[in-house]
Amino acid sequence: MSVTVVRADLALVQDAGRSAYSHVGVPTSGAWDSDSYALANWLLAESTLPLFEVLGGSLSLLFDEAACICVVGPAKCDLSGQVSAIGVAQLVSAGQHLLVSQNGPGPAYVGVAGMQVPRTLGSASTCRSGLGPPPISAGDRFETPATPTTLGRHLRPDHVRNFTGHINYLPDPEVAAHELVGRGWALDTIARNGLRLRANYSTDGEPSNHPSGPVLPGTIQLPGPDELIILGPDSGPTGGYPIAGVVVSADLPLLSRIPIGSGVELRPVKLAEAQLLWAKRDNWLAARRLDLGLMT
Amino acid sequence: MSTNYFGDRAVLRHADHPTELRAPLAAAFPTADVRVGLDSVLVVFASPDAVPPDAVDLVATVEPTPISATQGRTIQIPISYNGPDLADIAIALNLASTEVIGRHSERDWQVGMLGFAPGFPYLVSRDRATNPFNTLARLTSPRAKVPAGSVGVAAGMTCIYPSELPGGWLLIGHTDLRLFDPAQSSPSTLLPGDHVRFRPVA
Repeated sequence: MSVTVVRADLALVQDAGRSAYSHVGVPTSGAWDSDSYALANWLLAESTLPLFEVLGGSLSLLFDEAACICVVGPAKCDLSGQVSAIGVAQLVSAGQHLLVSQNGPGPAYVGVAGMQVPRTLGSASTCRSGLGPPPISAGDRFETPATPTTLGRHLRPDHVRNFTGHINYLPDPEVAAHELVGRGWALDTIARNGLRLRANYSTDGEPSNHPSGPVLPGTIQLPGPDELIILGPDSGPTGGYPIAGVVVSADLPLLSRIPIGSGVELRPVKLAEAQLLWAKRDNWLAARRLDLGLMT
Repeated sequence: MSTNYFGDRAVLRHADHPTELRAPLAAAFPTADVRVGLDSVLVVFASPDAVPPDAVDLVATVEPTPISATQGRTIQIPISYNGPDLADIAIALNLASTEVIGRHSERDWQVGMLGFAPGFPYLVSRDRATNPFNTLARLTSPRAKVPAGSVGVAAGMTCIYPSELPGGWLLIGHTDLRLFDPAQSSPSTLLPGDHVRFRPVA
């Protein structure tokens, strides 16, 4: 039993990533929107299932046997010519084609229950550093052993947390909290290793010459005048640019959903507020689990 | 030397010899991810609610395990000193090429951190006062492709490219030693704190 890729414009395999090797230079990787990753796993009664992360265009899959699948995120979904629902665990019959097309900013996830992907350093995630499987291409084939089906589990339509114009961050203790506020930042480029934002902005002081230090996804770097970088899941574990702060953990999934050209208000918060935002995110996920009929 | 929250799920501690803190911090926080930098170490927890309430104090008070030159591992790296920038390095340092090679191969290097790419070591020299490579700057226009095995120098450090990568270090030589193999459970030949000696080969 297997699934074969018929067409893939820009799609990767992602799971929870690899964090045990950062001390030897290995990026964390893993699903960019960890909330959607969790929801897709719950739909299929899995926890660390490798998913297809659709980052652009379409992904078309052909099934040689019946399988239980789900699609989560901003996407249109078509099953052998019939419009198919998002956020639902559903059956695909032998010989059917599934076509998933990106339909909004940020990644959509396609899960196939039981899908087997070889792991490298504990993870099936594709990383731009060359670890894990290469980006998905036509002809790729994945084994899908039979698993108990979870047909009928479904999420409410509003199961994606969308970017609403601002990102909360914790300022570095050595940087003035208002430093990045009111500058008119706009998203210039977006990729899994980082987001580049531009504004008319320069720091007052001399360019600092810090020794390279450890960083993590969400770290806000200041590489030079008029721009900043927010590191993503495929960024390396160290960096040499001056650091302005770190995005709160609750907002990391939102970073994947900022449209190019969109204004981004960077809002400094204190630790207690970041922890509160994390608790709110936990409650939001718990409510989605209840929608699925799962215990929290 | 300060210790502070770094975001909402990590604690950053500055230290003179951060590699000596990696093992004790990993032992103190077995579920955390301990990341080493050149002058700091970062303890990354799985989520904000996995951070202990007194995390800053706990991280700040962990005792380092000193790695002396005689106790730590020393890895020999065979090197051909045939890098495309060797002549430019010699001019910049006002030394003969043979003297540049001598200063590089006779020095005790230590892995300060691995970053930038899997298995990419930043090798530092504790004897900063006599390090002739301190004054070398990176290329203002980095190369798009540096071949795997290239050995670079810049800013008092030396590095080895474990795979083909873009890069701005001045290239002094080349090694055939494989530095990173993702098929191994311990994929990196070098670990933070290891001592490294470059052994010239033809």
